Amino acid sequence: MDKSLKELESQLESLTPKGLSDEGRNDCRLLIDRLASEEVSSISSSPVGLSWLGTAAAAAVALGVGVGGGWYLGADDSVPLAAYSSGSEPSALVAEFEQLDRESWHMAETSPDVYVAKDGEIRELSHEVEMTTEVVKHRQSGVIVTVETTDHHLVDSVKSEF
Amino acid sequence: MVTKGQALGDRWKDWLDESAPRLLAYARARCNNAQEAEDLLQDALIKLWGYQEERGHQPPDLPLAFSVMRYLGLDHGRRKGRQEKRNQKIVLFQKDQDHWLDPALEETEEAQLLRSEVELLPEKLREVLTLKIWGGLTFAQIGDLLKVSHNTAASRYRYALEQLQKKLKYLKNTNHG
Repeated sequence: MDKSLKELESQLESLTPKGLSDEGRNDCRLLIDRLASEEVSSISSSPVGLSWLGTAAAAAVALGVGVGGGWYLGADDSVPLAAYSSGSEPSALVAEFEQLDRESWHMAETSPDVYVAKDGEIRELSHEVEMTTEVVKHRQSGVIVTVETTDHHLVDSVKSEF
Repeated sequence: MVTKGQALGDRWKDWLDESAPRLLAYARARCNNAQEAEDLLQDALIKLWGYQEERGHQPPDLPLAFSVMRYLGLDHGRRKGRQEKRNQKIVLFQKDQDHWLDPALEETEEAQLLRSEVELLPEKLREVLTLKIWGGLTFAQIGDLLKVSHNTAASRYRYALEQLQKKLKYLKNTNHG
């Protein structure tokens, strides 16, 4: 590496990355305390997502809290389920909940129905089921709940040649 | 009396105090705002805690932490639509002056330019640069993390530096007539 790139490298090293905000640092420390006291130790021990130890119990709590909080289940994919509530500002609710984990997957419910469109294109209509599992923490109370939702989609697509 | 859990928690807090700026810099290279980056770090903490179970929940080494951050960042990006994020990122950085490298009080013009230009590098280059400069990883570790050879990691790093150098020269010439 030539001298000028070495100098540039040194300049970059002198730029300090920002640390956590006070709020972020406090949240992390609280989270560590909770993990250390094994309150949420069953979450996320699997490399691909959650280890659903105690999922049934958490889901039962989730239903209770969810209904009480007025969550709308089956929301848009990109928005935490906890963001929706009747009579409340979504952004305010988002701030109240911290999303710890989210996993979503699709399952084909039936074999697709093949049909020929007016323009002669061969298309297929399939029913997909989208399963979503989301773990959220209520920031104030620290309560962690798991919400499981099922959404049904009708998918109209060009039939694959393969 | 300090319990075993408290002692373990204290070790993780010390590890976090030491590692947070590095991890956060990497998270910022993947997310489009500070809040998302901090959320990503918290998600990573939970994952890492789970991964470290078989090692007695000892704080993890940095390459593993970066690896988890990367996995979570990819998942996060996929959900939100990465192209959309890239487009928004430039606007957000410019609009809110939401820089992820700390602007020092007496920063030179060149440092200011550099800070801005790092944030505008293509994602692949910025990732390697961040992991090398602020993450402190070797090219071999970066290669393992990104699933590329160490030579590719080194090439991306060099290319990132060259791009920054060209951009700085151009901007300095433009600014000074």
